[in-house]
Amino acid sequence: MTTTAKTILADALECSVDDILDTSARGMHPKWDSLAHVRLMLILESEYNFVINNDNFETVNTVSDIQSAIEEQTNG
Amino acid sequence: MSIAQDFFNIVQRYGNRIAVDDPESGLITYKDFAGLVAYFANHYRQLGDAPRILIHLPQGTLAYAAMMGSVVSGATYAPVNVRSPDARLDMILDQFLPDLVVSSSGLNTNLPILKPDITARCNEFTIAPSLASSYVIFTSGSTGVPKGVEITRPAHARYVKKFIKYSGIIPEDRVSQHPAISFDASVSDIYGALTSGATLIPFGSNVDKMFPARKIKSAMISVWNSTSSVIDLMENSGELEPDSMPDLVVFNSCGEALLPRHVLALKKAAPNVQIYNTYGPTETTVAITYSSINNDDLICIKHPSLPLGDTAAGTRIYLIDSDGKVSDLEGEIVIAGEQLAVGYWNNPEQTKKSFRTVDIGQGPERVYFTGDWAKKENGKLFFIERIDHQVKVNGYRIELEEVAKAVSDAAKSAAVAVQLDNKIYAVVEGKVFNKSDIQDILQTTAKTLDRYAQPFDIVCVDSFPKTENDKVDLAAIKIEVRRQIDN
Repeated sequence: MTTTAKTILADALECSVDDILDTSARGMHPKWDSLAHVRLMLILESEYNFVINNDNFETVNTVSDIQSAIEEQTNG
Repeated sequence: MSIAQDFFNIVQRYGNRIAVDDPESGLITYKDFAGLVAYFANHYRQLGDAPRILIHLPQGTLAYAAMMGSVVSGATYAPVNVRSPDARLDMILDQFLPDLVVSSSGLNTNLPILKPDITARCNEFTIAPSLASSYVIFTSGSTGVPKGVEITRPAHARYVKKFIKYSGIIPEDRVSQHPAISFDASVSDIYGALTSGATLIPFGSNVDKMFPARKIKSAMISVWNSTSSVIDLMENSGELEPDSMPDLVVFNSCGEALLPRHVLALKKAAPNVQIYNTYGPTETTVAITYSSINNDDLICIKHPSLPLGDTAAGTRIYLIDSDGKVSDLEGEIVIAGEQLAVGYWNNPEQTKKSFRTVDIGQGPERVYFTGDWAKKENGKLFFIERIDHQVKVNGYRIELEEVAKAVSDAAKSAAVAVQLDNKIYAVVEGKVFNKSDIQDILQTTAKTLDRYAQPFDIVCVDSFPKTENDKVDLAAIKIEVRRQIDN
């Protein structure tokens, strides 16, 4: 269910999908630093019309947050 | 010459102009901003002579008024980053021992706290002459305890005057306030704008900080002061479209090496921009050299960075070679002159080590040994490397020993830290950690290290390679880190 979110996060963190766990979170995963977070936001923006703002920049912090953001965009 | 007087003159002349355009609290005119400054100043004055004020506020109108209030009232302030871990803030509080903490969020302390109100105003604007230091900026310390660099009022005022003069700030300018207020680069923005009648625009949110090109465009920024690695960030995120920042006329590079690729990328997006490269440690008040970069400078790519530029009036640079002699060719940068700090706050031992009185040929004078090695070619000065364990990440000074200590404490084993590809890696001896262990260690180090100082990853080795002198061989460790991350 979270495969898409994990793939996107792996792209952003420039690591293998195998390195992304269901529990991976910003500040906990060693590669999820500020630059990786910017890459994540840009992927969501370019591929899912996600509008980056101060709220979601701070609150998309887990695999399930990414999945929710994607679903919100795709479900309209 | 005083910042307080310059600010007062600007308020008299440009009272109805916008002082700060803050996305959080809105626009505030110079007249209203002066009322807020006076509110802080009067509050500080009630604490006695030259009180110490710790400013724990997010970037924005309140923080700027709290600082200017300190300057006006004769107090000494220390600005800290509200995002710093509690343990680090505690270490700063223990050293600075403030008479008052200005904070709008729940800082955990028993010290008196002022929770300021953005609507507060006071009509009595009185400038108090003061011999007290102007501010104390805390930087990374190799022992794991932050060092407070104490800057005098004259040094502060002289630097700001020079910055305004060379960057040519005018009241019509819209000046970014990008670096955190705990980083001395912010001194240029805050006082450069507010003593020129220009409008200051805080880049307070993470979105503004991480996507600055969007903010520069939407806020019509004309003067932008930042570290050069932010240009890499913009380039990597595809934000430097041609002509995308038409209003930008001045970029002031500070805090880290400016490279030709930064200049070329920025010129493409901001064709009207004049780029300045500056150099200077916190200990000599923000910057002591500046250089207007032109196309000829871009040819000098054999050096790690572009020329540092000429020393500002009233300051001097000497190069001291490895034999301790003054050199015209290369050596450690040693700085003298009117911008030198008093020293490290409440730390005479470290002060004595870095600030010394020496005779370099013009009689005894007090100088600061920077730890930066430089070369001179055709009269131009080029930064080459650090001669100790200090590195910079996105302009922030980090002592690798501080990182190593935090990791060693958390991992309960010997550790060193190295920098590779602009990232910090910690290397732990004699342990094998899985991903979960590493997450646990990083969670522990996050309690004491600022986010920018956190290791990017942790690498394990059986034992540290040693040099012939039985010292840890950092070059060999870097090779091992490279091997492990490439696998």
